[in-house]
Amino acid sequence: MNRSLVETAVGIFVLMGIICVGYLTVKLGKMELFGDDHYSVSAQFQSISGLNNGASVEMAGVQIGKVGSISLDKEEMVAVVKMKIQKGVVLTDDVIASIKTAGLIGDKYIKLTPGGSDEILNSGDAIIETESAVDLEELISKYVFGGV
Amino acid sequence: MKKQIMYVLFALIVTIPCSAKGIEPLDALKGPVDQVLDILNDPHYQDAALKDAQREKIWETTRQAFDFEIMAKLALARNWKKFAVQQRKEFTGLFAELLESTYVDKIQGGYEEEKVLYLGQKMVSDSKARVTTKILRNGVDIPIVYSMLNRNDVWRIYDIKIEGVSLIKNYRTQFGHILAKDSPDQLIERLKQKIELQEKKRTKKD
Repeated sequence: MNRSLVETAVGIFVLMGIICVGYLTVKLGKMELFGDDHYSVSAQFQSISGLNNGASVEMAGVQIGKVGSISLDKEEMVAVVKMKIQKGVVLTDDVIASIKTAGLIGDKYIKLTPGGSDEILNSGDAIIETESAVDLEELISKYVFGGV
Repeated sequence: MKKQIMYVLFALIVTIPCSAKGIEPLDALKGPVDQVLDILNDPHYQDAALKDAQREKIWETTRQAFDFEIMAKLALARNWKKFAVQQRKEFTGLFAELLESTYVDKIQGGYEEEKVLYLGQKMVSDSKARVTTKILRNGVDIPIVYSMLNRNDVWRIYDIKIEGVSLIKNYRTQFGHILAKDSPDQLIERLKQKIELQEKKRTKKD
């Protein structure tokens, strides 16, 4: 009688432990199992050099999402970035997405400058207005030394 | 007689925008850009006394190629709704004037027989297109991408990206900062002052 009570208690603790480990795995591995609270929009850039998966997407300096996936459009040779934006953050069709560098040589992130149109972007829509990464080195060399 | 004149006027008003129907965005851009280059190359305007006439002509040509209403709206973004109808109208006019006084002088003064290459166009949606061009200046290529919008069957420019940096974005950020603490009327006043200042500078140079 007494022994089975102890065993039940141990069982419950083990079960709780397994649930905790499972939760941590999902959270730390950034997996999304249950109802995602993000929606995705895509954008095309001429160049995204330095932008990584999981880089942050900011508006007014506040993180509102992250880069979900990066791929190459093989026909036009431009970068296609899928962004996951928190639900509740409304984007309009004239929002401008620019690739920025944190500080002078910091990480790259995407900055969204809100627009004022009435057309709201839904999941799967594309941001049309984009600004690519400005390659400072390339620019300097081009205007200092001149092109060929 | 009066009625006939009215008919003729009406016919003119109706046919002018229609004449652009079916024109591709690249052609819609090429027309005015080539015209401006022609004006700049025109030996007739070499005389310093005719600089103002040349400037006026450049502006007349460029004015038709831009959709200033959309540009003003895009530049103000969320703040557009804060503007009353009258203020919007005034702002649009002033914004166009600001762009004129900022850029036409630079084009006129800095022109060194650059060549413009048209690299192609791409439709990004039903009514929006990108036209990629390149300016060859002293051996340096400057990539310029024009964003064009089709409104009432006419393709007009609504944004310019030079080296990937957007003109609208530049003004959107600046106007956003100003309107965070000032009222629409104050912004309009500021634009007026800026235009006046540039005008003064120009006349002084002449």
